[in-house]
Amino acid sequence: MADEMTTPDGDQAGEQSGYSSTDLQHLSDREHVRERFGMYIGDNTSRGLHHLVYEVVDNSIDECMAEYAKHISVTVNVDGSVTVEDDGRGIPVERHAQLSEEMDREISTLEGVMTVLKFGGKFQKGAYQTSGGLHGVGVTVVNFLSEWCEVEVSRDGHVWQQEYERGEPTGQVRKIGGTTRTGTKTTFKPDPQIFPMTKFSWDVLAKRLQELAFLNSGVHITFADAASDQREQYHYERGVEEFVEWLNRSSDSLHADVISIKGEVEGTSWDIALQYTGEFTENLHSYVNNISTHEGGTHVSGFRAALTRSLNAYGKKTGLYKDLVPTGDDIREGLTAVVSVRVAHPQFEGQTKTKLGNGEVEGIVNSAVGDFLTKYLEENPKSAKAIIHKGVLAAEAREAAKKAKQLLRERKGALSGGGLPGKLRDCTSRDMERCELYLVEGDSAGGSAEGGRHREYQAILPLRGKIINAYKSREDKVLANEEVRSVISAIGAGIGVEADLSKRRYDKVVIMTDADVDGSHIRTLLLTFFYRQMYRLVAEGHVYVAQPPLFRVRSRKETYYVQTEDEMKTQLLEQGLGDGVFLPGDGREISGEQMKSLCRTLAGLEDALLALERRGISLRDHAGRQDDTTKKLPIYHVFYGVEERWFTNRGELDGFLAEQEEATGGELAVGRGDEKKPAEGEASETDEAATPELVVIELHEVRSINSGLADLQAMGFDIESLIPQERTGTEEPRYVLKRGESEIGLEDLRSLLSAVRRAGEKGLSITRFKGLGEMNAEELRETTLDPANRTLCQVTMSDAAAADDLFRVLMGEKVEPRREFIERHALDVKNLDV
Amino acid sequence: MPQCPVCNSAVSLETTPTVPFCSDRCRLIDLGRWLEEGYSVPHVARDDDEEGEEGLVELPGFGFDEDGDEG
Repeated sequence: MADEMTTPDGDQAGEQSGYSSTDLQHLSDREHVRERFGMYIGDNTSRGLHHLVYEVVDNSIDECMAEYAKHISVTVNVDGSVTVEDDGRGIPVERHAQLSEEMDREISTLEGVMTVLKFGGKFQKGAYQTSGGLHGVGVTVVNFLSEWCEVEVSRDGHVWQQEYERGEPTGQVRKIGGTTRTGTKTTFKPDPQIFPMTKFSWDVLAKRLQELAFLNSGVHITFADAASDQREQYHYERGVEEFVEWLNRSSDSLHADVISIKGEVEGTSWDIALQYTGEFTENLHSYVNNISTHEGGTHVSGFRAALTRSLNAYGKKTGLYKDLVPTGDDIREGLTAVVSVRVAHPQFEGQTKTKLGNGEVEGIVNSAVGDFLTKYLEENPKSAKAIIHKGVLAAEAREAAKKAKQLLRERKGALSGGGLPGKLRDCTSRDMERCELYLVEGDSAGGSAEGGRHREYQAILPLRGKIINAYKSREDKVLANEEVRSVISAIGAGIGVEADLSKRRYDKVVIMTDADVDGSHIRTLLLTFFYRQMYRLVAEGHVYVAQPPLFRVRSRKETYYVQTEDEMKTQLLEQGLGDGVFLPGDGREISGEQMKSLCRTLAGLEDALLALERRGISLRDHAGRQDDTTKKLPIYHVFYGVEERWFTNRGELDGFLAEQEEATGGELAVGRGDEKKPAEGEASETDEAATPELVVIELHEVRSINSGLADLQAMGFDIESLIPQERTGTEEPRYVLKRGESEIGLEDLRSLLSAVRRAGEKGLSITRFKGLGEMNAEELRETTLDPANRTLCQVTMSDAAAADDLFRVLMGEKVEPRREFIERHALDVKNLDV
Repeated sequence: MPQCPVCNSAVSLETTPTVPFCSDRCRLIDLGRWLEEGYSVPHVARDDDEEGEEGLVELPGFGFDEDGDEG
């Protein structure tokens, strides 16, 4: 049959007459395409040009999808032509009966495919289930729009070839050799008469070819540019799943796995993959039969509806949503998804015909995705939580933006109408460089400050922490909404990136809070706010912390103020030493320098002993664990399974650990020391664990105790001297402090300190201020407001950052770490000061 | 590198215009939280507050009369 076609001697007259009748139709097809190319390939710009390649490749992809081909290679040749080759079945070359009859001459199927519009396997369901390509015009259009085109088919042991010029065959289909392989190789050169620009872009083609490889898992696509020698290979066994991984290659994903949803119902199949990242935008790619659907359509709306529905259902069910329920837009923030469907008869709508219109697809995708996701979320609570959290953040951002806009609007109104906060007691001067704003904790302190300030250049804004019920049986303090607004508008420089420091109304912003833990928390709150929302204000050194005194001391001669507890205690001790004599009951009399050094040693021990006792460890008990030879107390408290051990130094501890490791033959499971509270009855959560957990608690304060003990030792006192003794029936006190005529009996060495300090108080009237509010206006001016006497600490960037860190712990979302933190720091009150 | 207070992503202090946040968006979320009183610290009852026990941090006491002795 093929031989018949290759017979060169035809009836010339017959052919001529055939040309004038039946071939007229061909001519019309060809001319129609060349004149109205827009109807077939969109346009003759770069977009249309590249479309030619896609049309040819789509045929090869169809062969791959039908599992006849595995490899496709695309080469841009040096002359600007393109060769597309696959290892499929090869286009049939035998005589096509229907065509031959219509045309009244012998026509090969191959020639039909290349030169007759709407001729091909795509129109019969049998040949290809679903197929790509633009409306099935395919390779014929490419041929019509090419300056020249050449097709080589390997099939049935032979290689066949036919060439065309501007769509017209230059000869019959010829057999040009033998082969064992099969496939189709098409080379074409776009016609410059049609395309003003005929140069192919590597990037554009590479992107589409890679996309096709993602969408058609298993297909091998090789892309080469002969001129530049560039070469790429695309092959993805996991298809769209790998597409999503590739899209997310430079983003942080919120969950490790890519969620993959595949299936088929009634001739419609879907292949969907998604993963969330920390990004703020949605990155969704949708396809129908490999054609990118930029405008979305029913498959995308079905997917989105199911996503929103199942995530919100899960969020509500698990209580991860508080007040805010994310919208569909919120849910899609950070979503990377590829939605690829195959539909037998796609209907395209929209301006660029890239929107799927088939109504039935929406329901199919919606229920498939919904079912899968509902199950997935149940089975992957960790990923589910990360995804939900992302949506909540997005919802929060949306709300926050709304609020911030509102705030800014209000502020604009405020600027025009003297809208400074009602509570602000502003200064009279407008010389910003001189002006100071005091943020004062509490209304009563605010009142005193108002009375004591230098009205001309000091402004007072009283602030109150608002107490709320935060967690079960726990009270929290917040900066009330009005307070936040007041601070922002009083300072007047705005917030965030739009902040304009030159508009600030004061040069110094001074935080003045009570000198107690609560005060330090409020200070932390304010510092954190400044650090976060008024970064420049802090960075440029405009924020200060006032140092109000904690004590007022009056003597006959004078009144003075003492800032800290430590300072007060030291002062009292020094004054109390005087001519006191200590009788330790062994005949010695300790006085003068000796007495001084004894008391200082005891003072050094004082805080450490208190810290130890706050852990629930009494000195008496701990003394029982003293090392007989070194006289040291244990520093490490170790729990391992049911074992409880004490060690006085790291070496001993390491020895024990090594021993245990040898016994168990592996590394020990280490628990977190601060999670375990062995001294109190809270062990129920951690005990009876299946595998013994190692918990090492380090008693830092014992280091100081040990060094103090060594000093005492040198003065002739052992640890027992610090512990009260049972002294039944003895009238004689154990120790005696003698001052002139008076004698004070002491139970132990520790009480010597308070006895000395009490002596130091003689003749003094000491007031401890419980809060700023207890100071009157005059006192406040004298100590804290007046630049001549006050101490102001300038807040450095690292102070503020430290406040932020502390704040993160204090306000922490989880109650537990915070509780531990507070308890830990309660042992060392100083650490709470920022 | 410091972490953004909202999303915990790393923030470069030198090159990020929205420090200490990674983005203006996260800053807005933070602002929103301040405005809706979402940030709190534990309330520690003062010495003279009756109800405070749990969070109470007692300072080591010493000999003098705490109320002062002036008239």
